[in-house]
Amino acid sequence: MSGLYDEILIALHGVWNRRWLALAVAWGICMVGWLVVSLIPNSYESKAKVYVQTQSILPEQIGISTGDQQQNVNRVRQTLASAENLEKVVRGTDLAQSVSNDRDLAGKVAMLRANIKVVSTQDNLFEITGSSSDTSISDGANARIAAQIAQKLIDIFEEENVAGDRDETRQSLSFLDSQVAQRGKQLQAADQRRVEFEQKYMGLLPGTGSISARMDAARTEINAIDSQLVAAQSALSAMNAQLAGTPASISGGASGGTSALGSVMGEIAAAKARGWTENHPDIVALRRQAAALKGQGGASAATGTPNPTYTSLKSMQAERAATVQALQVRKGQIQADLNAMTDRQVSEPGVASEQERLNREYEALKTQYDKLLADREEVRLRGDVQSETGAVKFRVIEPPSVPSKPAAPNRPLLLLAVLIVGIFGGLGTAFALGQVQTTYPTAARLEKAAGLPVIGAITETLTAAQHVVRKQRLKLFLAGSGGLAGVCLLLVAVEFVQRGMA
Amino acid sequence: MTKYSPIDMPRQPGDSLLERASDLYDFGSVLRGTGMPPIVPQVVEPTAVVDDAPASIAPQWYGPMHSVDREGLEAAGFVLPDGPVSGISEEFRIVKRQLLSALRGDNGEDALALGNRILVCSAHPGEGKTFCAVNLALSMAAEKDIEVLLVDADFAKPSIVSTLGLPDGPGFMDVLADPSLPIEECVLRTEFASLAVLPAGNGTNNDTEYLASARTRQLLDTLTAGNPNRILLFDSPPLLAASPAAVLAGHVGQALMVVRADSTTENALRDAANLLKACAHVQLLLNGVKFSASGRRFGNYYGKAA
Repeated sequence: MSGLYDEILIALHGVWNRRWLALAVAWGICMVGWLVVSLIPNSYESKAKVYVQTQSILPEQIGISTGDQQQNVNRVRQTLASAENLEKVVRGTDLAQSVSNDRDLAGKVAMLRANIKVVSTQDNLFEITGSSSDTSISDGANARIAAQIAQKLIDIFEEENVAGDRDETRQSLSFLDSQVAQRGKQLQAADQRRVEFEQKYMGLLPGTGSISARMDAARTEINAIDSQLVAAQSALSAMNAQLAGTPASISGGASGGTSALGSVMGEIAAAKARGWTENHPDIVALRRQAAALKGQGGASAATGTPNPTYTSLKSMQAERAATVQALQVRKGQIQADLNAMTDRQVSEPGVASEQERLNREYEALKTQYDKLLADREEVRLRGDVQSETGAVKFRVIEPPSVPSKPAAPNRPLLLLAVLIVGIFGGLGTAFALGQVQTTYPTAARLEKAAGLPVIGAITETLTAAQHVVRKQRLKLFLAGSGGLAGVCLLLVAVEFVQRGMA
Repeated sequence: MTKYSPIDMPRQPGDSLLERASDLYDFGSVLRGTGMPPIVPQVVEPTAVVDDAPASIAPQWYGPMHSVDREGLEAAGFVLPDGPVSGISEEFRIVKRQLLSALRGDNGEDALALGNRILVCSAHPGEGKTFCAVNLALSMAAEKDIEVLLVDADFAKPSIVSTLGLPDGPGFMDVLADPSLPIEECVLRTEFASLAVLPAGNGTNNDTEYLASARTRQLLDTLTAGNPNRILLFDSPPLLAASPAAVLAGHVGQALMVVRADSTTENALRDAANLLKACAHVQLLLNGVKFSASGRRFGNYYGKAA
């Protein structure tokens, strides 16, 4: 260890021997360093804190989750430093004063990009920092610009978050609107085609559904009409028989002829009712009697009153006949349609599938149309919720202030650091030179290095005059060293005075 | 002061006190054992100096004794031989001991050839060559049985004479350039008996060539001939700034390279060491140490702060 200790002492001794060099180097380093430090432009920093509150009750009811909102805020934060936003900042602050063309603008934007900082300290707390270090303007102007930058960034942050949502809603709405309109048109066209088709092919057969269904329906109807027709015809024939059995007029009580004839006619009817035919001798006799009576009392016959039963039966018969007639006509018509349809089906087999296709298309379009319509309404509601209830609320917790002292550089510290670097640089240079330029402080070293015997070491003797000179030099050296520290302190003091004045 | 040189003194054989005493008592009997024939000390007569042959006897200095600038030296941090013990003096004593033991061959090592010629050099100017050389010389001057000749070989910027506060005059380069000029004329003696200084002299444009010449070798041989206790201490120009030091390295037995702590770089050290290849025995001296990991601090111990 003593060897090491000696080495250290010898090294220190070597540095001390080169103290003037060390001092000169220290002065040089310090002068250059202090010059550089003094040329570093002041950078002013303005800080603002923004709290972003995301509402969660109403928006979540209609499907806007807090996560969505958070994501939105983050997106805005990340895109805050986009060229577009920065251009807005440049235009909205005093920076615009020194911008005369696009190149200047681009330069400012690039500078801003390096000088702004957005940090989210917690989930919802954002710290926006703007700084300015323009050498061409005064410190005060720099401070103001820093505050302006921070303020403008907050504005943009807020604006983007709200307007971004609105934009999104507006874009979604316009998209949905256009889609709805388009689908509406398509739906209309499909409807038109369907109508045309039906007019072309199915106008003859009423009802709904496909051709086959309609044909089936027509056939069923014909069957029904058939049975109705049979029923109506039998009813008509029954009516006819009843009518035949009913006298058209009833003979009056005053006229015997008529009453005689009437009784004869009654007898005939009774006989017929008994099932006797015209050839029955009773009947023949009765007919003769009746004929005689008719010739006898023709005039009295004319005066007989019409039979009311006959009249009503007559009308009923007419009605039945009309029904039969109508049914027959209808059956013929349906039959004709059916025949025509069948003929078409045979000649054009694709019609049925064509109709089905048209129907499908229509149905699909309609479904989509309805869905789009519902979506549009939902989006509109969402947009209203976002913009009118203020789903995301901004609170500026710490407004950007105009900084009174520069954030960087920390000049006093840098000045001291330069001093320390200078001192160590001087010492290091002296030490390095001592290592490079080998000299011999002790006899042992000399002997080791030279390989020749060293027969003695003579201590330095100083005359009185040399003592004086040496003392003076020591004083000079101390003055030089002290001066270095003094200059450093002076510069630090000047810095503080400047700050106090700013 | 009168001119004085031991070689000029008249000598009567058998007249010295030691010789007369040895006649009466055999001093060496204890060392060599009894029964061995006694060795009678004899003074060897110096042979005459011949121009074309290396002198066997070193020249002696006869110039006046100059006093040094004590106040100036002490203020500049130099250590006077008779001064108080201080941290720096102790440090130089340690260096001096090592240099001396190397030249004498202590510690089981052989004595270095030409070990008494010591070159003080460094890679760059201002690393403390002159300071170390002068201090070493002053420290060695306190030794009891050696004498030091401090040679200023930094011809371009001589500073030893002014540092010591001695009068300037002709010196090393003048002797080299002018064979007729005796070196004894140039050597300055100081108030410390065993310390003499040879100034750099007037530099020429061919310093290196003069240093590399055979005359230099001959001259240096002359200076130390027969006197192994005389130490030649050379202060030199910086190795990486001028060439004389590299040439001088060929003439010396020991080279002491001064390395400035916290200042001399490894590259300079390696470069300089490469230039010193001519000298086999290179040692380093770390000067201007400001940092002591081991807590080695001399001087406090003796009651005076370094």
